Amino acid sequence: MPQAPRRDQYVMLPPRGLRARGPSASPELQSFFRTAEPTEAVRNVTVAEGHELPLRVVDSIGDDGAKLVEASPEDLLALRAHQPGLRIVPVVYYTPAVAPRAEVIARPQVAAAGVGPKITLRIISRQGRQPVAGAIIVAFTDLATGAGAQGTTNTRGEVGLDLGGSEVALDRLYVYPTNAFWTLRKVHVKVTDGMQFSLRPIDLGYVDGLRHYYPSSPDDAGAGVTVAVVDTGVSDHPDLVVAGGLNTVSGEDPDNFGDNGKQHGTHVAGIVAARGVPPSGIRGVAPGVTLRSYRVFGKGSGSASSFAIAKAIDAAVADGCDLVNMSLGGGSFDPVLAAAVEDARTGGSLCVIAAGNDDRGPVSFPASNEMAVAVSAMGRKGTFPSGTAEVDEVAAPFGTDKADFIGAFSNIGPQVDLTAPGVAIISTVPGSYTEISGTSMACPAVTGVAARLVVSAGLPAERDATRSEALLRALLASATSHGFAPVYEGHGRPLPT
Amino acid sequence: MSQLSRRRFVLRYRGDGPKPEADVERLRRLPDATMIDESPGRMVLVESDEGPLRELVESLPGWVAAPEQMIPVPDTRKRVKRSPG
Repeated sequence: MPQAPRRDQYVMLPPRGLRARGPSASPELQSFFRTAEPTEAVRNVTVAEGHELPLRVVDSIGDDGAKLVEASPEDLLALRAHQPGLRIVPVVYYTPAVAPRAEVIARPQVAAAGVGPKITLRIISRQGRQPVAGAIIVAFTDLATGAGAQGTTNTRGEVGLDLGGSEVALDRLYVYPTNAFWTLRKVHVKVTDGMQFSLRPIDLGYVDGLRHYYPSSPDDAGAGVTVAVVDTGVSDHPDLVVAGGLNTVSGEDPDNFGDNGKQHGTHVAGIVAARGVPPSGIRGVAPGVTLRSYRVFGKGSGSASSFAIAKAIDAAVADGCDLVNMSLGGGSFDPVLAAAVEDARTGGSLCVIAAGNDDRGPVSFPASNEMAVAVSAMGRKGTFPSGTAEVDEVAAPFGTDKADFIGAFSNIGPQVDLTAPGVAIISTVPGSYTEISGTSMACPAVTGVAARLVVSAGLPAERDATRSEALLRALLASATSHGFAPVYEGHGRPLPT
Repeated sequence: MSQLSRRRFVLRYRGDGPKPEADVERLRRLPDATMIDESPGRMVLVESDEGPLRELVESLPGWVAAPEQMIPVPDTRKRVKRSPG
């Protein structure tokens, strides 16, 4: 006898507040809330015109208020696709706040850093054997405990590492260049003073994960669509055209929205909108979009204020951006940032947000916000050279095609809406190109596809909740499953039309 | 007032239209609070003791408030956690 599907309880809410009324709730959503009435058992509920799903509405706050529902994970996914304006929150059960018991969280360190001689390693290019400056070297003597040393190469390509001896057996050695080369990974290698390691240059014609899944991007793909990149800024680059933007960092020049020195935003922008032609340049998913840069990280800074991010989202909506790419996240739930993402939806802009890179941790905030489009990262074997750091990101689960996998770093959870390639993605950085992995790279791939769908989906002209919901509906409907469970891929990988 | 208890808070107005000037004026007049940035149409950034600020925000309809958070640049590179033992 077939087993009944597992059903969990969720609270369904309109985009704002407890009742589906006013401009923040589309007419379709208002109609759904009014017609979904409590029942004793599961029954087919009309969730959109012509679409029914087996749900049980357990309780309701008035006719158009929040609903307590029972649904299976699969039906929940379908419900979100048909009613993208819904906020769906798992029911939370609170427990008595008993005092926590003390527990050991770390053993005392016995290491004596700075005691042993330093080992100097030299990083050079494979062709030409020139020094590679600015590369980050991470040497683990014990990968499991995270023990080791790290540093950055100087202009001679050299880095001194205090590894506690003059000849040291390493568990792992990683080299992360900032441009032009692939990363390097060595396993069980013995290092001595003066050893050299050579890096393989990146060929811009290489078929990486992005180009494998999205091989062709016409010049006009995404034309007429405006995309905001809320990030570390976007630098001038031969493959990029930045139409404008804003620096929302307090105390800095608002017109300085170029890269802050961290490269991240320029890399993200290239995945959406690079207009180069391989092998002299690279191409993004939607080269025709109007690209705008909203810098929220201060000059040279590694962190962004929630105020700067919320300010950037508001500015992007006011500037008419159809899509807001946010390859960032972390920290606890923030009602102000959540409100900014929700107000963007009401204003007709869709926020596409990276799920985070905590090695299968829960989807980070703000991607976990119900009004965000949360993106996990998938990869594909054979789209990066063996011997690169990305080898470590190949992990179960594997897809229907066993070459497909969800990147080991990617966060997962019921909030994941879509997945996209995010392992070893080649894109633009100031003055060059590099490959980086992360949900940060998967996120702009989805943004690029969404931009192409804005053109083909025939969206209403007025910028409001109805427009952004229609775009989300088209985006989710375009997705194809790669055979992963919904917590890994959501609806799957979106496809441009 | 203790300097140690002062934090920066982001306040956002969720009502219709721009943030009410009368509300912003009450925030400006909050004792020992410093208005850092009130340029956005719907938000302000304030440095203040948490207690008095929360009390005031609760009396202002349509506002939400949260301590300013710092979010790091995402990075999937491996990191050393401790020196060799």
